[in-house]
Amino acid sequence: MRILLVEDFKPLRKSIAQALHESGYVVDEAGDGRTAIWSLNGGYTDLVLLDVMLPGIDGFGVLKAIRSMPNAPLILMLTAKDTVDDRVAGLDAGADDYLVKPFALEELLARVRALIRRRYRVDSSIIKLGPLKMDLNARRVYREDNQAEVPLSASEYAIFEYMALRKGHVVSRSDIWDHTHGGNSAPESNVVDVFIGLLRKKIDAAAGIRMIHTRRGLGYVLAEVE
Amino acid sequence: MTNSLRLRLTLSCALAIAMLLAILGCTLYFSLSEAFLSRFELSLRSRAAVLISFLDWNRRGTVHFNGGADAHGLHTALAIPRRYEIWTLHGRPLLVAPDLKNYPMIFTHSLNMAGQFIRLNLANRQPALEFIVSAVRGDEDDGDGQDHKHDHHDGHQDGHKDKPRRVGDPKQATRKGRHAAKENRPDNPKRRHFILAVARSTGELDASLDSLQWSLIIACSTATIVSAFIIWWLLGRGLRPVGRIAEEITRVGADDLSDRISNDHVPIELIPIVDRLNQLLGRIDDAMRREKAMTADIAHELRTPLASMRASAELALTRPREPEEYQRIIGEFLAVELQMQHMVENFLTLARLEARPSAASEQHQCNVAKMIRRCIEESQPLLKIRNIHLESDLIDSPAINVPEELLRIVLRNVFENAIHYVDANGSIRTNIRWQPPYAIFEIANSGCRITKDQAQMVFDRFWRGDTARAELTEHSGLGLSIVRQAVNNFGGKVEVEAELDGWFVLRLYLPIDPLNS
Repeated sequence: MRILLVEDFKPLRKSIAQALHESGYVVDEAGDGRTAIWSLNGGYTDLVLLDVMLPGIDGFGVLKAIRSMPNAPLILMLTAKDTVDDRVAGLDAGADDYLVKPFALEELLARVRALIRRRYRVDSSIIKLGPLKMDLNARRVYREDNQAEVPLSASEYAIFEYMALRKGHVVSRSDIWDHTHGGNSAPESNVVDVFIGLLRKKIDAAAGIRMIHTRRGLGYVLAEVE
Repeated sequence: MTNSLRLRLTLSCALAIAMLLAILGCTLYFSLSEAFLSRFELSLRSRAAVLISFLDWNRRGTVHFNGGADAHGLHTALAIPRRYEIWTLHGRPLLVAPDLKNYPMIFTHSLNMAGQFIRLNLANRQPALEFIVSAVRGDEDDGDGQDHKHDHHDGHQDGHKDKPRRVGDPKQATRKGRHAAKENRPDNPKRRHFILAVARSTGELDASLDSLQWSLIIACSTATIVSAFIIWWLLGRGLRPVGRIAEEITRVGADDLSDRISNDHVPIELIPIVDRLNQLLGRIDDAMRREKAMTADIAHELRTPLASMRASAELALTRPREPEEYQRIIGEFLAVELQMQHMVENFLTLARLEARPSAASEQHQCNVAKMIRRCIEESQPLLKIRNIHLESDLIDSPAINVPEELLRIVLRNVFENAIHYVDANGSIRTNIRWQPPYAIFEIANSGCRITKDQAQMVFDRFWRGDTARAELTEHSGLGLSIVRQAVNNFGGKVEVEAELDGWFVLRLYLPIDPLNS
C-alpha cells in the first residue's frame, strides 16, 4: 500500500516514514503543499497523512486539491489543533480521519490500517482466500485448517496483500508495482513477473489449488476458481 | 451624589428652576407689597386731608368738626377716619377720636413737610400705620373751599414746593413755631397751626401680603415639583437609547465579537460613543483573533516537536535495533529537544518582555558601539565557518539611555537573524549613526529572498522567511518579535526593508535619552 506523508517538520516526518516503512507500506514524503500535490499526480496513492500547518499551500489547500482528483486517496489529517471546532473544520473539509499531535505511533498505524481496509471495502482485518487466510494486522498468510503459515518475503507479502485486497479484479503489472514499490520509475520489464512467479509457487502449493491466474495482456487476478 | 445620571440631571434642573422661581417670586412679592403699601399710604394721606378740611375752631380755641355736634354720624356720613388726634405745635392734644381715648397716638416734633408714617399698635395689639403731619388752617379766606384744597394738597405732598410756608420740616416747624405763636395771636385769629395724626389698621394689608406670600410659595413649589416630575419623565424617555445600546452590547458580547453595535435609531449625540465602542470592539476582536492565532501557533510549535520526540522514542522501542540505529534515533531526539528548549526560552523571553511595563522612565548608561563589537566578536567563529564577510562602520559614541540587558537581547537576536538568513559566502554590513533623538543601528544581510510585503511580516510571531520550520534549527521564528517588543519597551522603534538587490536591512532606532526626547 502506498502512503503519502505530508509533514513540514523533518524529524517527525522521518520517524513516521520509518515506522510506516517498517509496517510494510510504501511511503512518499513531502515537506510542503506544492510537493504533496505534485506527488499525487500518479494516482496510485492509497492514503495521505496530511499536516495542516504547511509552508506555501496549507493542509486545507492540499485537501481541496486532493478532493478534486479522480480516484482520490483517503486523507488522515495530522494536526496540532485540537479544539472541537478545528476537528469539525478538518472533517467538514473532506478529511476521512483526524489525529491530534502528539499521538502514539501505534494509534497512527491502527488508523492507517483501518483506512486502507475502508479504501478497499474490506470489513475485517482477516481476508479469506479459499483455504488460505490473510491477517492484515499481523501481516501473515496461513492455511485455515492447520494454521500453517505460508512463508513470504516482505515484497512478496506486499504484492499478495494488494492482490488479496483487490480479489477478483484484474490488476496490471504497473498497478502492482506502483502500490507496492517506491519511486516514480517504471518497473523493470519483468520484475513483477518474477515476483508473481515466486508468489504463485508458494501460494498454489500451500492452497493446493491455483489461485493466481494470468490474464494475457492485462495482468493478474487472484481468485479461488479459474 | 448618586450615580444615576437621570436623578442628577433631574435634581440639577429642579434646583435651577426652583432658584429661578424663587427670584421671580421675591421680585413679584416685593413690587406688589410696595404697591400695596403706597396705596395704603395714599389712602391715609387723603383721609388726613379730608379730616383737615372739616376741622373748625371756635372762639375759645377748641377744635371740632364743622359738620355738627354729632361726630359719630359725621364720621359715617363723611367717611372721616375714626382714628385721629390733633395737637398744637407744642404737643397739647386738641382733639382725640373717641375710639382712641386709651391708646393715644405717637406724637413727634420731627416732621418733614410731607408728613411721616409711623407703625404702632392700636387696641387689641392691632398693628396699624399712623400718618402724622403738621398743617395750617385758616388764612385770608377762612373756611372757603380753596383753602381746603390747599390742605388737601398738603396732605398729598404735591404742592408743597410752592407753599413752603404752610408745612414745615422739623427745623422749619420750630422756627415757624415762633411764627405760629405770633400768627395764633388774637390779632391774627384766622391762622391756626396744628399737628394731625391719622391711623389705620394694617391688618388687612398684612393679611393680603401674607396670602400673596403664601400663594407665591405654594405656586413656586408646585411648579418646581411638577417640572421635576416632567424632567424625570422626559429624561427617562431621552435616556432610553442608552438602555438599547446596553442591550446591543450584551448581544454583541454574547454572540461573537465580529458583530457591531448598530447605529440605527441612535440619537446623534450618542453616535460618537457607539462609534468609539465599535472601534474598541474591533480592536478587541483583532486582539482576540491574534491571541487565537497565536495559541494555534504555540500549539503547533510545541506539539509538532513533541509528536516527533514521541514518534522517534516509540519507533526505537518497536523492535530490537542495532546500536548505531539507537544512537541515530537518540541523537535526533536530542536535537529536537534542544530546538524545543530554545523555542520555549525565546517564548518566555517574549512573554516576559510583554508583561514588563515600559522601562523608559529609568536612567541607564549603555555604550552601544562597545556592545555591538562584542556581538561581532562572539559571532566570528560562525561567520568563519560559513565564510561570511562582515563589514562594520561603528563610531564611538556617548552612552545612550537604554537598559543594557534589553539591548543585549535585541543585538543578539538581530545578529542571529542576519547570520541565519545570509546566503553562503554572502556578507553582512553594520553601521551606527547619530540622528538625535536616536542612535540608529543598521544591520543588513545579503541573500534576502523575501518580498517587500513579506518584510512587514517578519515581526509576527513564528513567522519564518524560509522553510526553517522543516529543518532542525535553533531558529524559532520569535527572534524579531522579541526585538520589536524589547525596543518598544525602552521607547525605541525598529523597521525593516527588503531591497530589490537582495539585501535585507533592519534598522534599530535607539533613544539617546528618552527622558529628554
